[in-house]
Amino acid sequence: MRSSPVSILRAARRSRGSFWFLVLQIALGSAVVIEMADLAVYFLRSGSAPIGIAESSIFLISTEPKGDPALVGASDRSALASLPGVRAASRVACPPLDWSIVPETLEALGQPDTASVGWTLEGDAWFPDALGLTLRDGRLFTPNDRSDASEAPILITASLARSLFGNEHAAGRMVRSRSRRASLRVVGVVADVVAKGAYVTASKGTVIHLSPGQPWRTQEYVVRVDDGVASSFAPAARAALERIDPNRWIRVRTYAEFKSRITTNFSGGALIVSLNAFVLISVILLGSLGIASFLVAERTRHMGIRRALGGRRRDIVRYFLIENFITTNIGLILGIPLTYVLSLFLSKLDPSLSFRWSIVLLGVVLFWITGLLAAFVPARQGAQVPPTVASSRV
Amino acid sequence: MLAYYLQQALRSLRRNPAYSMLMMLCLALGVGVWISVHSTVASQARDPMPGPRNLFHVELEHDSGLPERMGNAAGIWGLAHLPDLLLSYRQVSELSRSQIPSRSAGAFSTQVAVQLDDGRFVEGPATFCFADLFALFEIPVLSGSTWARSLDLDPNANVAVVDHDQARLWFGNTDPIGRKVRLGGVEVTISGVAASDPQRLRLYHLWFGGGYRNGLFLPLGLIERMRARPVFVFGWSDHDGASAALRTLDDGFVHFWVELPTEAQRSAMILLLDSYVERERVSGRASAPLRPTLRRLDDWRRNAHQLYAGYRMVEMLSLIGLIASCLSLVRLLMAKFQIRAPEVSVRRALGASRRAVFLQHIVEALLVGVGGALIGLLFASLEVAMYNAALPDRTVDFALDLGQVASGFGVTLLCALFAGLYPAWRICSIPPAVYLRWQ
Repeated sequence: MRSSPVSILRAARRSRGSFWFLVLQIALGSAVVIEMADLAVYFLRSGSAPIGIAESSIFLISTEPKGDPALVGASDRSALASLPGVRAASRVACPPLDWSIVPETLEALGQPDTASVGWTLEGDAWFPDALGLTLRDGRLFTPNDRSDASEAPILITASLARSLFGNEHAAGRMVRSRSRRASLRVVGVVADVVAKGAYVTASKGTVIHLSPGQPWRTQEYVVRVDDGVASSFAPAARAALERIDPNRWIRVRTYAEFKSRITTNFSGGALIVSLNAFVLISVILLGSLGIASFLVAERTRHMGIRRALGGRRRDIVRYFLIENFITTNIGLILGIPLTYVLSLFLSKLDPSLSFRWSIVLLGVVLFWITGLLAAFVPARQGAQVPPTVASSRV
Repeated sequence: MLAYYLQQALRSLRRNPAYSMLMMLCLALGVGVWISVHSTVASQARDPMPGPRNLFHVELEHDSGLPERMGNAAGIWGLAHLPDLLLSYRQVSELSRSQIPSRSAGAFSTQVAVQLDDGRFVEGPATFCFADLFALFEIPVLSGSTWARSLDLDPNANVAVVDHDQARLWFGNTDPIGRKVRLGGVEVTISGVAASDPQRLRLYHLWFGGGYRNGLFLPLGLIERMRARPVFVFGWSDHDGASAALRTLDDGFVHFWVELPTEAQRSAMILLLDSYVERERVSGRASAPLRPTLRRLDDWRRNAHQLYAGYRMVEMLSLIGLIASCLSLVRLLMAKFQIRAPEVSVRRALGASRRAVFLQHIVEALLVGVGGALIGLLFASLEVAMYNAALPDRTVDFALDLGQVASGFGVTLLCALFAGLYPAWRICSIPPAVYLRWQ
């Protein structure tokens, strides 16, 4: 005995409020779960996005010398550069991902309409090499470059070069830093590197300033090492620095460790919204499972008639599954416009959070599975009721 | 009568404890998610210094081109306005000589390495500031004292005030006053202990995400000797590094606050700043500003400390999730009441009024709400603890305060009441004859 989906739907609607409450619940629940899934993916992506350097073989070392920071800093860098397996060591003022990274507005000289935001990294002449940056055009810094020259040298990333000069060569061109009120010469263009974090405007637009030293006591070094020595580098670096200025504060960490500390709120955010999405799906699943007893009890008479008319157990199971599938889909169809409206709000947080069918599809599949799981239990229970018991209440 | 309804409702819930627990759980989970998320928003949105204040942030505007390109999102506003918000040490030294403000304070925060008196190195946040910062931002000094105003810009000042919570972390339960710590080779003696209130302690500067507590307060002048690197430095000048004297640098890294209680003081301060800006422009410095701004504390807080929109979004989603949970409860109550229809029909036939049947079922729904609220609040407190662990760079500790617990309880009862209305109305509307014929 088979029922068409239309007759099943008609029968389901006859249950008055219950049908529409379920549809509404699925519509609201699916919209929320889909948007939370979107947020979780966004947080994960923002936190784990590559920043354009070899994060596990580049170290960030911070220290506070007791002696003259300028002298100790120069000695520290030389000592680090001479350690076995070190490719390059540099003194830095603003290393990538540091809280201290600030933006500036750059424009091609005489062309204010090209004004673009650049995130500022600062370090000595060895800094680009220590980051392992790939040169695309022009040259890197040399020891002869001077930061206090009238046309101070800078490196810019390919993304920033495109914003400033389009497809033209950028190396050798002059730019104006509107924020710093200084004229700067682009000596080279390097492959994209993220300075502040993947979550900010123009995140790959990075400008690297030459900075031979800073007036601060805190000294930071970026060191790139061979992959083979990465695991043993930290104690060796610490010992080398201790020999120069003992009993001082030293912190050595890989860029991967530093990044995971900086972006820890993103992974935490992903965990929180994922957990809450899971809880809300559980609420819907629990609610639907709870209805099991109701369905079995209320529809005993209904099932009795079907069984008396020759309906088999699998027909009963099929009936419940189809009924739930139809209800779920009506809920999902209503939920998608709501998801769209919610994504309009979320896209204000970040344009990448705009409505995406891939996430919607994920939510739809999730709700299909949840709906079928929730329907299968009552369907099985209902089918187990013997026709004599079921029809006794007819 | 209410006692009778309550008794009936309890009996009904006990008759099928697993189903009753399921109903409570459905409501509790939805409520728990909403309360926990709402508490994080409420904790951060709390204004630690509400009401009108006469406190102003002194800003020197530049044409940096950043605000129009970066927008005003949380966290971004501060970065985009950095050249305007941060004054150089020289500028603060000069402006603080003015007698116009009743009180004034320069301040900036950073992370420092502190060597405790047992030789251990610990990392912690530090604020270099004027002594008047405590009074301006109403930061209570719990024991000991701050430093004399005369030490504000003294490079040889060797005193510090420690944050109460940080002192517990560093020194345990022993009295920190009189203890000596070293920062960058400079030894300072702790003279006072300040109360911990992360919301208030971050109000006077741009929060940088590196932690949510304060550690030490030190006289601003000490930076000349200590040279701890500020978190945010907006570099204007080309200098050759460590030999540059801070007193001559144009790099901006200090916030400057003034208290101007009267209109006359405000007008005089604006005139002073106008003439100061003019002098800076004449000097030909790269950092010369275009115009000054006096920004009120509440305006500063609204912009610099705006809540990350993601929290509001998750709160909105969790509220919709709560509605979905309520709908789940509606269906569960409908199912439960429907099963009892024959029993209700007998009661109706024996003379029970519709109103009595309706109220009895509403009381049962409310009882589910009470259970749901208790479980939900327990679940919310676990969630809040998880949020604290998952978000180490938060601005404050998230916590459920009494007000939130009470409002959470009330909201849950309201949800249960609304969820119970339709099922209760439906059960009391069924004519007794429909079910009596099966008895």
